[in-house]
Amino acid sequence: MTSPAPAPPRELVRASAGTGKTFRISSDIVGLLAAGSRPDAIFASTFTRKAAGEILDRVLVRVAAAALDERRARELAAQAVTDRSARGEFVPERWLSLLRELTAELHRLNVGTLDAFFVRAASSFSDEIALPAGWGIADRSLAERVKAEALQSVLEEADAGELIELVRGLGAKDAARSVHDALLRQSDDLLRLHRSLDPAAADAWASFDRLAASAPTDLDQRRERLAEAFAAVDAPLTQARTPNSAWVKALDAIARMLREGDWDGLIESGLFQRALQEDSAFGRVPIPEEVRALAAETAGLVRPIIARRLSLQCRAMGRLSEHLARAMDEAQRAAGAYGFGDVTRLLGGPGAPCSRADLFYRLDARVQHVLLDEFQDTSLSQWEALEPLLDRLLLERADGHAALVVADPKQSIYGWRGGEPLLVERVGERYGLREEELSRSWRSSQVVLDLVNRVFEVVEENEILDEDEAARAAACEWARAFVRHTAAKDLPGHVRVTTGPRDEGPGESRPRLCRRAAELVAELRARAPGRYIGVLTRKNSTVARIILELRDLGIRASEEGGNPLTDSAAVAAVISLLRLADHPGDRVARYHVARTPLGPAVGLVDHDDAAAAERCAERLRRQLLEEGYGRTIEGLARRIRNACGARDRRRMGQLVDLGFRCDSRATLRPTDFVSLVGQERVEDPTAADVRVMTVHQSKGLEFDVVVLPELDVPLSGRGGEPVTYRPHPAGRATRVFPYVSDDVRALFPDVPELHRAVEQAAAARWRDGLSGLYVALTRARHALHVLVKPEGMDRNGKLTGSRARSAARLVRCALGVEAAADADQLLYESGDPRWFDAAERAEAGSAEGGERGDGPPAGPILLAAAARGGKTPAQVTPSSLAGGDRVDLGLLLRLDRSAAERGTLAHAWLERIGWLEDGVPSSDEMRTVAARVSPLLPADAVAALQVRFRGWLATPAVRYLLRRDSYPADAVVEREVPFFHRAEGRLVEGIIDRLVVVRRAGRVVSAEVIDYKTDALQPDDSAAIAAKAVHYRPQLDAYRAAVASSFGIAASAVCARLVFLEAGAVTEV
Amino acid sequence: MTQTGLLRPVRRHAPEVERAFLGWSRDALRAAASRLADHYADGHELRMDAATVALPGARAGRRLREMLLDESISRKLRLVPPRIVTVGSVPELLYTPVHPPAPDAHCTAAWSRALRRLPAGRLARLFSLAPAEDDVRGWTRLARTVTTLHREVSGAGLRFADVQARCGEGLLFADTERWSVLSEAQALFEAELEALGLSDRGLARCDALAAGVLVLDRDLWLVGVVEMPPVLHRMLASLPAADGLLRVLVHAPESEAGGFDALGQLRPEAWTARPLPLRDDQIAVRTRPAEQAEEVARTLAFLGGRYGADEIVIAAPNEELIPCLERRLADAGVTVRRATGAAAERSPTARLLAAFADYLDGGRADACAALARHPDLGRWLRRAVPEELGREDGWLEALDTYRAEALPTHLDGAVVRTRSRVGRRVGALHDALNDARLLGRMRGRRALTEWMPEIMALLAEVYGEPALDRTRPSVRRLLDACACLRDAAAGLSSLPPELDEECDGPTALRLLLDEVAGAALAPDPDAGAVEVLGWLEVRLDDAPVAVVTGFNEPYLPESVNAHPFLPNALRERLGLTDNARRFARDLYELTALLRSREVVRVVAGRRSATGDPLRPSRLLFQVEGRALAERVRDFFEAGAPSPPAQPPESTDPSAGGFQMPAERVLHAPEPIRKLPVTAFRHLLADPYTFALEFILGLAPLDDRPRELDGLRFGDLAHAVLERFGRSDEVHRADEARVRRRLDELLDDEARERFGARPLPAVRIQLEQLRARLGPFARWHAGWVGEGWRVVGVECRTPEEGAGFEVDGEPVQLTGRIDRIDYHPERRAWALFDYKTGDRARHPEETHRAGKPDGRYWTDLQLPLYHHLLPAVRDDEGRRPYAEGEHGGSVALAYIALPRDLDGVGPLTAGWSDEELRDADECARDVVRLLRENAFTFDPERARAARDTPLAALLGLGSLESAAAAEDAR
Ligand code: SF4
Repeated sequence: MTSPAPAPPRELVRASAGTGKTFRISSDIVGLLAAGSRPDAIFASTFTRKAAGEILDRVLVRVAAAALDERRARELAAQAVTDRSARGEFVPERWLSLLRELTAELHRLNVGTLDAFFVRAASSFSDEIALPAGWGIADRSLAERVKAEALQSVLEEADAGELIELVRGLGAKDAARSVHDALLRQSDDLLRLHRSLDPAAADAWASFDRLAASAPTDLDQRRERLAEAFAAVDAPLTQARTPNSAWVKALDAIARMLREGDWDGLIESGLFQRALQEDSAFGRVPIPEEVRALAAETAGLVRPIIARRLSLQCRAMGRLSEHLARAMDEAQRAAGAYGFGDVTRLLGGPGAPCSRADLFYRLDARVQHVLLDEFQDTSLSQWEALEPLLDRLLLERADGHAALVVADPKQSIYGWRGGEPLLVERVGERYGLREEELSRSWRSSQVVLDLVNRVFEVVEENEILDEDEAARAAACEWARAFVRHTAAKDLPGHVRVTTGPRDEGPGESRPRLCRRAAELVAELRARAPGRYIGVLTRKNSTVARIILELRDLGIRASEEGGNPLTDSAAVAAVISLLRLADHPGDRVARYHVARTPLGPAVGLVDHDDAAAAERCAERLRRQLLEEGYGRTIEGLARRIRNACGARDRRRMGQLVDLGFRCDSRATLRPTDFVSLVGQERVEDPTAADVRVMTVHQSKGLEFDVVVLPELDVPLSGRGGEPVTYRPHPAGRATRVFPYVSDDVRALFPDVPELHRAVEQAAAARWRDGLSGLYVALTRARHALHVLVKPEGMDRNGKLTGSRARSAARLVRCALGVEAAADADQLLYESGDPRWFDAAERAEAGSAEGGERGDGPPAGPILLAAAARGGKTPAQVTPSSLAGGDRVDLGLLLRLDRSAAERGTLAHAWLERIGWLEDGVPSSDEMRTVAARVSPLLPADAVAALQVRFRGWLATPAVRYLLRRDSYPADAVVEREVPFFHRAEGRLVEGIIDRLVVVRRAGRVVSAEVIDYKTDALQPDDSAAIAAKAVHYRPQLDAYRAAVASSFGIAASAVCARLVFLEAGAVTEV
Repeated sequence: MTQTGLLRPVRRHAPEVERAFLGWSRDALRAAASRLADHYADGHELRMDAATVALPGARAGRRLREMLLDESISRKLRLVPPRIVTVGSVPELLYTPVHPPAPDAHCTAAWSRALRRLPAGRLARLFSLAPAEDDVRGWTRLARTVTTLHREVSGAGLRFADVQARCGEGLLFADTERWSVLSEAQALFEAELEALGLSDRGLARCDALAAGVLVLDRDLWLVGVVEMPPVLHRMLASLPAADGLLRVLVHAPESEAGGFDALGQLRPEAWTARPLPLRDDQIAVRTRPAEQAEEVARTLAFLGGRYGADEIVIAAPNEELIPCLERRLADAGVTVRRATGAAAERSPTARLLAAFADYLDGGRADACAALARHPDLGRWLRRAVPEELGREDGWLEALDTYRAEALPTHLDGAVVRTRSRVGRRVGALHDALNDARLLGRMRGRRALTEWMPEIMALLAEVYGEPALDRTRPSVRRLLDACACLRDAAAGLSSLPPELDEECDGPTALRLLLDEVAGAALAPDPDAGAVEVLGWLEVRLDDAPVAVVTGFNEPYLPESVNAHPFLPNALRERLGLTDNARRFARDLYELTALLRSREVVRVVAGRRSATGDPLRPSRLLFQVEGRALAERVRDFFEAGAPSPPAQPPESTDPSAGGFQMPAERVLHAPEPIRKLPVTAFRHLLADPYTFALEFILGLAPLDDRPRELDGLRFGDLAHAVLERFGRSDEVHRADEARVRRRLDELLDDEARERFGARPLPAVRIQLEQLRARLGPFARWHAGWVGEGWRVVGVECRTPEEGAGFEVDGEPVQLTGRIDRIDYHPERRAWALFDYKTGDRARHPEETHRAGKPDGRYWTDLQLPLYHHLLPAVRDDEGRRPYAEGEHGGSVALAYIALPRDLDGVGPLTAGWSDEELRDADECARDVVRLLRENAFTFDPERARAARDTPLAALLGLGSLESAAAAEDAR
């Protein structure tokens, strides 16, 4: 390269939504390449494989364009080449040669996801990090099976009491019937907790032990005394001079609960709680000192009891989590099935590969520059795996290595699966990265951005945070990363916030609101045809619901990732058939099959016919086993084709695909495939202009119009899970606490970690919630429609939703439209409702990115008649023909090879004999042959065989056959004669033991085939000999035919003889 | 240890090698056959038995056989064929090993022992986690890993020690440590074999090469071989006198001579920079596998019938595409044949053995259920146990029912043998499986050499029907699979005592299956099929049309990265096949293809099956000048988004013949005259669903419940409470005693129902129920203390029911009242129904709905109890009400046992007489509807069944439940 290039940049870029970070990263990569970097020196990672693909595409397309065009060459030089003085050199030819180097090393250019990098590193170091041979990343159904197995094994061993504790948690008055899902969830939590712990943390599960130790010995007396004291308290009098009934009740209850040991009830008691707070009142009456003192004493009594229970629970959790982790390790190892998270964890463990000296050696890459995108979604364990690498590149060798970290903590929506936005800060400081802010949006119109600004600029002041300091703190923290957004392009836009219809009931499902969202989409679609509309929800079930509603309106929407195939009636029928194959007794499945065109196709028309069902089931299972799911379902699809509409056909085709795809790991249970079909989302390949998905799925996408119908769910999630305490906010946890209610928590003011842990968990949830809203609001190019539910009035005329901490309310408060609550009201509007008149049609390069045309479907395929008579005729050996079409499996499965081995040796010795007159092999010669042919045959066996061999040669029939003078004078003998022969479309290849050829006048006139057999037969057992002859006949026929055709003589001129050496018999066949 | 001369320069253009060029012939093998024939033609014969012909692969060998036969026929000469081998086995022609070579199974076992003999600390250098001492399979797995490495390294004529010596300087890292451990292991391995008087083929080659004891004593032809194991290359190059014996036929024209060395091997440096003669119109870039398959279909359609199936081959270096191809072409009526065959381990036979192993491993119920579904086992069961399991309504339903009811984890001897048919059948199944003929023989621990004949006998037992007809394709496949298993078993059964291992039955089965992993069974012959070939087989095939799919990294050119022991840089240094060589090779292969075929089409994809972006093959960019930039642009530039289009069938009347429900109106075979009071709820909710469930009797069957569902949980609770009702304690006002009794009864009932080992969830559910019974005991004791007496338990209507007059004609109501209590002093009756749902719902809530001013009935069970009351009798035939004191009030109530333990207790309906009369009227309406005997489908009502097993029958998609499951995650 030319003049000394400037030091490679080290930057932390905070890039708000739509601000062109893919462009930025690709520029940096081109810049590094232009400065002379080898492709394998670059390590660029992002969150999804799709995004990684986009970065790579951009790099290549931009360089290619520059190679083809002067102007683009100059542009790219200006955008990417850091050394200004060198920019002039970057003419198209220069870019072309750079492109050539790049494409030649395309396989070494490391642009991908962190996960992919980790998998590669793990493959290189599989033995070091104890991954079993042949390990792989499991698909979902396998992963779940493995997990279920591990769980099952733990549960079977576990103590029932412990499990119940686990299921009930602290809700001691709760005895739900269904426990399986709770167990599953709990074990998921436990496993997650176990793995999030700092391995160095001692006693992570022992937080309550100390407090539990001080349990009183005279509990019974003390509680009786306290009960009496409470009972003896005089309730305050009302104005009517009667005892305040609320007080009476409360005091009685406390006394009773003390006596009964109902500690949970006690803790929840309002009077008790208030009495523990200072200056508090109960039923508007200030609490007298006497009661306070009693309450305090009671609290002192209860605390160790509760602590003891918590401590036991904690320990049980700790033990179980340990067992689970171990069982999981074992199950994963046995199945060789891992998740990305596991791989990452193993990489970050002791002896982390990224810290090893041989990392680059094994990876075959000498990494120098790192570019990390979407860094806010990096998890702690990813960071731990990666940190040593970054340290090595950026700390140990301070110069020459570029670093670009792109992050938007405002879009960190993966906290629930470990994303840790606090790492952004940490990485910036650790490596001294220069900060840069990108806030000009290339995506959205200013109208949309205005709303975003209004909602988020001062989000920490939003009313919904009132009375929740933890939430406000979290919002403050979040808002620190917010910079006012401006539009880079002048796009027309429109924003509307309206209330939808009112839904009955307290449940979370909002059928009417969903319906309204669908109607809105229909309206928008009619008004602005050809625009992409995205409906973004919080929950998957809402996605499904809205899709159904849209379908009712005649709009087929595609769901990001697609739907399960069972949304087709034909597929549903096939699924029932598969169910039936597994459970012939399933009468629902039987009926379903029998009542569709599938019934006649599989011979089941009467759902009451149990025998027919059983037959049908077994037939199908056999077919699935022998031919596989793909082929079997393909056959079914063909048979019902005419009964299917176009869409059903397409979906059936996809079911067949799935069948083929799963064949290599199908189980013996058809219902395993059924549940896989239920889980697998398959996109219906037709393009749709309406797409419905969750906000999480919408990350990285953009739409002309966005509809948000589900902002009414709580912003900060639910909680209710165990929590962990992390001394360093972006570090590992050192303590675990089971979930405790606020009431219980109030009992333990002296366990600060508990309170911190709860706060940390709440902060993380708020962060996720705010980020989710931010992502949702920033997907729209032009128009944004927010649909919120109207708020009800309670009896006092107060809005029922007025305290809800939902995204909807946050938006409304920010816009100052909090009041009012009728259905179908406009709350806020700005911009141009007819934006689409002004807007260009979908800009190219949309993230939505339809793929380029894949061409029209193929026409019918015509094939000529086979020209070469089929090109791979089966190849057989004559000996495999023995026995004809009947096979004796017992014979085939015989393992004792010694007879066969002796046979081989005998043949080798016989090969040595030309004509008997010329002599037979000497003993020495025979031993030499034996050593070569049957080295593993013991010497005594060889010796014994030798004796027998001499015996064979002594029998008259054999002697006769081997003598020259038994044949015409010019007969020639050949031994071990190989041949090829074609018969009945098969290629027969074999070796003839002995062939005697008789020529007359130079032409072959006849031949004799001799085949030695060493079967154990008695000389006088002529029946057995005859039977054997019949058995071997097909083999000898093959010899005969081969010999006849190779000499061009008639088959009748070839005589074939079997020589039964043991019996001393020769049989002509 | 012998020090092999490393990388002694190969004598290029060794004069004694005769090199000839076959041209860019499509039919390279025919050309080769003709040359061979020319060479060996002699009077009447083509006598080639002194020659060996080596080819790159077995398939080419089979093809050459045919070509030679054709030559002999057309020349009218007798063919004495040559020996035809793959190039990999040529080294053994050149030397005689000192010891006989050890079979593969011996080698694996010897490695396994060698690794075990390494000091633990040393082994940990290679594998951080060592298997337990007695984990035979674990050690065998490690042994396989090392064997693969050993094969590859010795394929270059090197020992591990040689690698150790060479992996130091100049690389990014000196991996000497690990290679030294490996080399120690190799020494131990060699010693193991030597002690048995055997040798390892790879090491024998190294030794022969080093000792210079190579001889070629017969004609050797290398046909179309452009890459061979380095060790062979060195052997051939150092042959002392190969004069006139070694001949090389190169698949390229003379003008390309510079691209090959004296032995016909590619010279990578001569190829890497060559442009590939691939025209733009021969390339198609498509999105996903499905579209790539579509493109293949389009290519074939485009041929317009000019070629036969046997004149077309498809290369699929990325196997992921094969299923799509199969599917797409099958759709067009074209069969696809995978020439590589099917995996032996996936054969029905192997899978039966695997299912046996799983079942033997502790007798788990799910393993048993899977095994019972193997049709081959089914056939055996019918043959072997005809009395109990021979009939057609077989054992599956029984097993399913048993699992659904008893929720067992294991199905060992503990099968609960009730007198029921189900229990008997499951017991019979259990016995049959464990019969000495079947799995009885697989118990205990034995040596591998003893297990193998046992396993073969097991196979013979299951499959050994008297007359297997091998002409049937399924039998042919069975025989192939058996032969494959037998060969593997033969290897293990011949292990010498020194290498033999002891293990249990499942392990033996699995070791055997491990042994066949990777083996392929020949596909069915099918002349009418288009073949899918391995990439390296395509060039020597002679079909005029070749479609190359999967033209993407890292499939084509193949590249191997992230190898734990042999990174590319080390391979390069050792002279093993590295990525650069692979690139050159694939460039050559494709060039040859392009030069020699009539039609070549290359299909690349942008996305994998899972939607991940793919990189195109670097070969695509082997073009000169600006064309490169154009290609890049064409591949990578995302085109304009395809205009959104509403799929046409949104107006399509969907689902043709599959529209459910199939019949919009259902009828009972004969009008219903008798019905249980519980049926009214269903009739009121949706008569159509009622008809499906109660008239057609449709119920699903799931043998894999993970816990007790609501119904079974309630059933269990009822059973316990019924027993309690009959016990003496029912009349006690003593909470503790009541409670103790209930506890005992729960334990008894649970033991009878679930046996000793129910699912863990069930164990917890029992405790949950126990928790609910606690507050019940308290309530009950208090209730009795108040003076109430339990006078009837589980009182049922008689067989004929209780009459209920509707329009002058009675309908017979049937039903069961869980409990009838009477308070003599108050002259009050209470009719109770136990409710064990998680949420306690008041009778008013369950029976009526609607606004306060317009309540309507949704259930009539409790009100109708009034009509049952006179008729019901208990087990002993006593009629508590009819025989009791008449008159007095009758309360209708639930006894709720909900999850919220504070909610346990009675919930009494407070309906007025007028309301009850209204209920009767409503019941009459229902009966009138019933008498019409037409149950009509109503889509609105059916929606309620969305999450039930009936959903599919009502035409309700399962969209929502799938999504809900995800939310729950
Ligand atoms: S990848 Fe799978 S889903 Fe796609 S076309 Fe292939 S078999 Fe079908």
